[in-house]
Amino acid sequence: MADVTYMITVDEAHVDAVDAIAKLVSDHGLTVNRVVKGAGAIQATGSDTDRGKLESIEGVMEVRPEGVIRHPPMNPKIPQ
Amino acid sequence: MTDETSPFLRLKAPRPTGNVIIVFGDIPEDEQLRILEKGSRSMGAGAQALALAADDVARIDTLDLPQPILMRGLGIGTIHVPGHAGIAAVAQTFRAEEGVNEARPEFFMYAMPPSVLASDDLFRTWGVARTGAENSPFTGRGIRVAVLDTGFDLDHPDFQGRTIVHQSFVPGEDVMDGQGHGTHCIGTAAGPRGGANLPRYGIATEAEIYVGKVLNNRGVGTETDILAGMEWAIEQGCQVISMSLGRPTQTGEKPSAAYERLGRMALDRGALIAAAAGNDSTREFGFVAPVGAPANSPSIMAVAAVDASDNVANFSSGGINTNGGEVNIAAPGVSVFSSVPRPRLYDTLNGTSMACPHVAGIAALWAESDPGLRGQSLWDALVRSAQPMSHPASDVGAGMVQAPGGDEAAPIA
Repeated sequence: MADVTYMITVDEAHVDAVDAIAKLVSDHGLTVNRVVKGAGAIQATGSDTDRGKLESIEGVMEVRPEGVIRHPPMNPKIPQ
Repeated sequence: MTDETSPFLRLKAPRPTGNVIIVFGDIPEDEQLRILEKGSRSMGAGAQALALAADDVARIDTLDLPQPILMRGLGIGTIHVPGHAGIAAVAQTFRAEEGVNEARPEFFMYAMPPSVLASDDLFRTWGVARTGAENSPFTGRGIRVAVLDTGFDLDHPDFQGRTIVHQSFVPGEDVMDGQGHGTHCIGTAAGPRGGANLPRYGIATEAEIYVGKVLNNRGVGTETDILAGMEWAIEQGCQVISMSLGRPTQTGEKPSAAYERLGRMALDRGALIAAAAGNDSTREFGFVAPVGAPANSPSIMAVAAVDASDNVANFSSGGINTNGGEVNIAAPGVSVFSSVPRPRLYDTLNGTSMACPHVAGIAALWAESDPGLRGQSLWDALVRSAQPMSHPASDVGAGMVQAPGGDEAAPIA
């Protein structure tokens, strides 16, 4: 089983309960790295088999491997 | 290169490498080596001088010389002065030697992007002129402008004395910009008014700068770090938040709920978030890519890039998707001169990343001009005042962003 860092987004009705949902994520055995309350987003690391049980938590809208934003090399020939 | 031909390199304030270059006259190589070793002894080092072919010199790191070197056959020596202290005195010591024609500190040299000179002038960049910032009576004074990017070079000489608040969201890295992108964007949004031998390249020259480092020194960051930076900037009370970052999206892709929530939160709390539309088009082949994320969020202003002739930049993403995927406004994003970290200090770059901070800076000018312009009303003011362009709204939105109180600007080139 490989480690995966997930971005978990809660639904609109549960934005105010994001801390409680993060606790449930932790109770499921994942390591919660960061909670961004305003966004209703939780970053948590677990195994690649955890996705299903995260999706089953009430109030969770979306679970996906966290995306990465990447700038190109600083070069006038490459659009930034 | 002289001051007249290179106005943007500030040659009146050159940047020494820490080495002294010695140009010998017509004296034997043994004598040249002896003079170099004598100079080394005078600094307390006493290292043996090494004669190398020019090809060999090209393969060594001359910024970290353990001993003096002589370029064989050229009569040119280089010696490192530890700690850069007393470089002028060391050079003077060499100049006193018989057989030395010249001894002087060595300086960093950079290629001069030719496009800079085409549209910028000695007093301002073309973006400062095209947006009307050049003639605006407003400077962004009292307005907090956050730039979420790769951080900032806090010791950049152009920003000394400015109010700068900073926070790193990158684990294990401080706010120092090890990549350069963030410093360039901050320079455009809130750089200085310019000065001797330096054109004005900043829009909101007196804005308070809030630096959120959300991408690491390789220019990479996670979405959660970026979300955390957005939340921080909102909670800091920033009226303007600039995000020259993003990822490509697919046709039909919906915006992320997380970004959109923070975009809405920002507007509700009197902040405006502008984001780069993306650089994924290849318009010369007829391909226009959809606006990327997070610029595709309905509550985040998507900024396209144009050049000095008002052409849409070849790479600039377009309004392919609906429900936030539209381009909202356009700004200068080709051949944009701005600050980068030391020792280089300046560079000229292309991209919607360069267009976005123009909009952020102009937003700060509008926010200063009327305390009632915050959040959605600031958005409305930017769109309402934008100069219409002869391109579809899907490419440039409302048109070219324009500063308050400036004369109606026109294409530069």
